[in-house]
Amino acid sequence: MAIKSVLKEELANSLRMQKRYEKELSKLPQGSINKRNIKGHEYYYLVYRENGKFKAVYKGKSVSDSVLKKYSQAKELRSKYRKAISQLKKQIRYLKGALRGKEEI
Amino acid sequence: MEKKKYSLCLEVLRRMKKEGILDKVMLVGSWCVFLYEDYFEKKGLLPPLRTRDLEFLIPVPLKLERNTDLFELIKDLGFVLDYKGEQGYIIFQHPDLILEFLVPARGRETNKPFNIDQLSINAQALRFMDALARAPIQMLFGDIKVTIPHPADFALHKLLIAKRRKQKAKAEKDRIQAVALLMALNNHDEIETVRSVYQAMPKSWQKTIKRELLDLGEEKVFNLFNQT
Repeated sequence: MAIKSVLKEELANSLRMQKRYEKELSKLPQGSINKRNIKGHEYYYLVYRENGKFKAVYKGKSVSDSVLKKYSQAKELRSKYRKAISQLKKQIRYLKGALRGKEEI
Repeated sequence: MEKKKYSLCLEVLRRMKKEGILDKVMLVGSWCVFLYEDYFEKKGLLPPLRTRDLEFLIPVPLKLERNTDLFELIKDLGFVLDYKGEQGYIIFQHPDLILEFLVPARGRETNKPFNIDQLSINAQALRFMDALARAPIQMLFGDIKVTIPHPADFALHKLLIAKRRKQKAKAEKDRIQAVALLMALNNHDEIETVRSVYQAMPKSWQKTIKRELLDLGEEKVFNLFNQT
């Protein structure tokens, strides 16, 4: 019985955490900054996907370090958050399965 | 313990150490049990029923050389900041680990979060936490020295708070851990320490501990440190 209660708590935690990660993910700036070399000149583009289509928005011949840092940090966090969500989904599936089981835990 | 969880925990501790935070706080909660296995040089001391919670007891006042935004320090490891319960206690969540912060409750009982500006967090004030800080010990977590309560304090504290737990399962876990630790302390020739800690406690605390052990049918364990 103690294990079942712990599993229930873990399930509630995981569900809550999943929502929190999804919220944080939605707050991150979309896309990443790409540098393109066209005829010997450098140009910066913000690239992202919208409705399954690839988009590139011209940002100028130079972009400040703070903007580059912002997008690179967002990219890193996005990858970590997505990984966390995927891990949480697996945990949730497992915990739901364990709690649904007929055998006494 | 899962390797991922262990590595993440180690990295959090390493960063806290680097900022001079870890030396000022104490690791409490079920992770201590993992370290007690080293203390008693015995694996499988307790059932491996462990949650993801990594709890830190923060002294009041907290004296740090410099202020650190604790969340910013570990955010890139994939943690998200969340608020627990209606009171809004800050917790840092990760699928493998949940960081929680506690302070000893003093004065009138309140649920209000206690602000710790030096770390840009708040903490939950809990009763009896001072009992954990009587004679802390240092153990190695990987290559990091962490401060944890002496197992005697930890065990008696578990018995003290078991009845105050809202969740029965947690109370049950507290009792199981406490009895296992008391027996380990006896086998480790440290029952004298338990006795002196128990004797120094207020009578009402002693009564609670005695009642807990007798209700569990662990009279023998109680007699180990009750005998004079």
